[in-house]
Amino acid sequence: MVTSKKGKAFYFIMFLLPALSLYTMFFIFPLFQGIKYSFTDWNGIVPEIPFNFEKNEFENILVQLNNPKKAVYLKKFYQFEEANSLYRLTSWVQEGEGEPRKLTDKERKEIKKILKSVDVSSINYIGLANFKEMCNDQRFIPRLEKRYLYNEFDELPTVIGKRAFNKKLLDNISEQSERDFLLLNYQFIASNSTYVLKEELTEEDTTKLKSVLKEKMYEKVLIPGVIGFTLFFTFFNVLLSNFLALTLALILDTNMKYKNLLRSMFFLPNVISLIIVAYLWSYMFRLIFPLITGISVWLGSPKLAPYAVVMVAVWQGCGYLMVIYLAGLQTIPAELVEVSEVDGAKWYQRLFFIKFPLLLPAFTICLFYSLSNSLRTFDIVMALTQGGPGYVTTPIVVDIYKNAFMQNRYGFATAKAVLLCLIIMLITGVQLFLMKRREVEL
Amino acid sequence: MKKWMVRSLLLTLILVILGGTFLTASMADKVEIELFYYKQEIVKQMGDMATAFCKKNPDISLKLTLIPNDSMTVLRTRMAGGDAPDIIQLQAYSAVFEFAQAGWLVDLTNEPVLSKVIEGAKTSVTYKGRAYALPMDLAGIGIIYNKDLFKKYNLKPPTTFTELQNVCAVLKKNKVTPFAGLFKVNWSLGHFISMVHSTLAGPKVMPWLEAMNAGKGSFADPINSKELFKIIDFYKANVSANAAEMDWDEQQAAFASGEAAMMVQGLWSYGAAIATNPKLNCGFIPFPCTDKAEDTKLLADVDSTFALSAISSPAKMKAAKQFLEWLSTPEAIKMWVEECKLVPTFKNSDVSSMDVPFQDLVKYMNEGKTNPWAFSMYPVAVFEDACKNGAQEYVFGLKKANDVIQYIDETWRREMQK
Repeated sequence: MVTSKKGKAFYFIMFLLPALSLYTMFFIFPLFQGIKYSFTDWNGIVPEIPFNFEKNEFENILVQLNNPKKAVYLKKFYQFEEANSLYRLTSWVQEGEGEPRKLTDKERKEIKKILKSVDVSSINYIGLANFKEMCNDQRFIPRLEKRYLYNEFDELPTVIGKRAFNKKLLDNISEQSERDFLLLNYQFIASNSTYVLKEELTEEDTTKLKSVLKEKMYEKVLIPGVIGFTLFFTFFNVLLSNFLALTLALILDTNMKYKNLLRSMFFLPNVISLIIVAYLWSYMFRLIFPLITGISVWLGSPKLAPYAVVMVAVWQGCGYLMVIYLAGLQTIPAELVEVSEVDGAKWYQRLFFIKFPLLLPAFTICLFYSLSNSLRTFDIVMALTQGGPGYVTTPIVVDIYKNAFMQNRYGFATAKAVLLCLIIMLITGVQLFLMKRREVEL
Repeated sequence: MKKWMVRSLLLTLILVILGGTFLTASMADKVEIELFYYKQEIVKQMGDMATAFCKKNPDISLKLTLIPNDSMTVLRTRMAGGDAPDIIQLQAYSAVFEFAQAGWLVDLTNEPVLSKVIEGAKTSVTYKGRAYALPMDLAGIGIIYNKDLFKKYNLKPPTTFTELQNVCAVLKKNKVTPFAGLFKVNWSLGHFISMVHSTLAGPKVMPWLEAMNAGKGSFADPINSKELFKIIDFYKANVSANAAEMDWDEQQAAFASGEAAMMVQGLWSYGAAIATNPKLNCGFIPFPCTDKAEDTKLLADVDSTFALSAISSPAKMKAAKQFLEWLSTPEAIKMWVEECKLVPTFKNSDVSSMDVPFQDLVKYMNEGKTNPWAFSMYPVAVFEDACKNGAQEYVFGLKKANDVIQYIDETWRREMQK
């Protein structure tokens, strides 16, 4: 369509300009705001300009200002309260008669500027401290952890297997005397290769043995942490949901009966609200799964909960990907497939040499979509397990939420959010770059 | 259709939308104040109370905002945007202190309504010697038990740990689950660990808290940590078999149906259980942690409070203060007790019409057999993360007792360094 210059200007003002300003307002601006906050120790509730000052603190500020005009300005808005000897910001200004008016934004900014000139602000910049702390956050980073196997409240184990005894206990003891003591009390039985506790122990020996076991019997396990779980979730979710979606799309692309009905059925989970999906599945996990599988605890089990979460996410997400793959399959010209059939190509040859290369654009979109969605997954985990048991199923966004809103560490949480943003940009960027290059090659 | 027609249509549409939004604002001449609350069990009752209040004060209208589970999130987000509701329902202690410290709350110390509150309740809202909220209801955490089931098996409510063990043994023998469990979400276990900790520590709690806040000491200091984790192990051994899958709703259902004879919960859960099964006959006792009956005290304290926002306009603040004043009138107390089923904090309130568990709570309060909610005084991150998650991780075998204590100590120290 050819439009006149005037027409172009009209559409620019009507549609593009609002879109651009909204984009700046709701995306660019918050992004930079977020990066700014990630360098602060803001706790989330302290307002930008302090609401109150201790008496001497405020008087100190006035002295430091050394500028009567500014001091008067501050005094106008901070009024002294006798009862608790505080200077309080009056949010409502009474000027002459009539209704009081609210403090204007301009006045707020002016107050902020004046306070800043003497280095008073309620939000402190702490440089990279938030990012450094992330490395020490034992919930966040994957790490090896000593898991102690013996609890001083337990009875002494009477039998320990040979391998466990050597690896988890003997190797951890360096002192020869302690080793001897241990080997004296646990005797090796070669016939079934186990170490067995001596029959009669004195009180003293028992206490000593308990303290040795308590401190030296451990194994090292990898705790995936928040990052580890996010990567686990992303890997399996991307892999399984794409595989399932592609399989379904290939099946439903044939001339089978009821294919439209089946298509809508597989797409249905995507239409239902995620909260309802989570409710539905928590009932399934509690009432139906134990009957089928014989395992009674799913979402409450630290071992199975991560897999259960992935399962629900795949079930919920693959319908959408299926639709994209189906659309891709339908753009493949039927003649091409027919010709290859005539030429004697087997079904798998048709699949790998004709359909898949032509589906590459669909792969690009689906991978991008599922990658970025899995890296920032939140709602399904929140509704299913709330990140529990413990921290086992906490992805980064849930962790950010917990840091910010449950533990009052806004600055720290924002730093994590900035990190997540970078991770997503990096991973999806690499993926898009690689796949687009392949597409061009074709 | 002509091009200009389309354009003018679009333009008028936009103008109408813009005009509409401006017009709807500033229509009323009444003072409208907003009350923000999180207690989802009193939705209808709050509406009734608002109506009753507005009838008395026709020039004020009360807008109710209910945010049940994430109230603090919503509140903080609103405050970060420079906006706050006029009346805010807050949890006692740390929530009040936190907002008072940031300067969001009005100092209520000299308001006449505060002199009507029982003395013991005021510590929960007093920050640096000034009261910043009105304590509204008392709640306890302990064992809610099914009296009919206890009678059936000829059991007495236990007062020592040994007695509790016997009760559980008898119940188990008769195929009744001793405790309806709730392990799927972490808050209940967080309450449990701090309840046992406070009960074991007894009078040592307050000096210990001071030491912790000074950066000294450890969670294990005032108690024998062996006992603490022994009791958690005991509790774990006596809850419903699939407690790891159970949510609050399922816990209530299991208790209300008589499947389990007891539940360790706050008294706020009683309402849900009795609503499921109105025939339920319950009692409320403290959780015994030692074999000395005099150590067995109820963990009871102020639960919710009403605070006023310091940035409300003077007219709204006046109206909000009027509402707080009205809450102490006999009419409001009656509604609070009979309809909301909450134990009021006002002096000489009449609670004779309340159900037995509430009477039990008041009895323990009057006898002075209570411990304060120490967990409300922990730094927020310590209770929300270290205690709740730590206890859950211990129960699921992800962390050992010493790791839990160490993690609580580390978190506490980190919070104190700020």
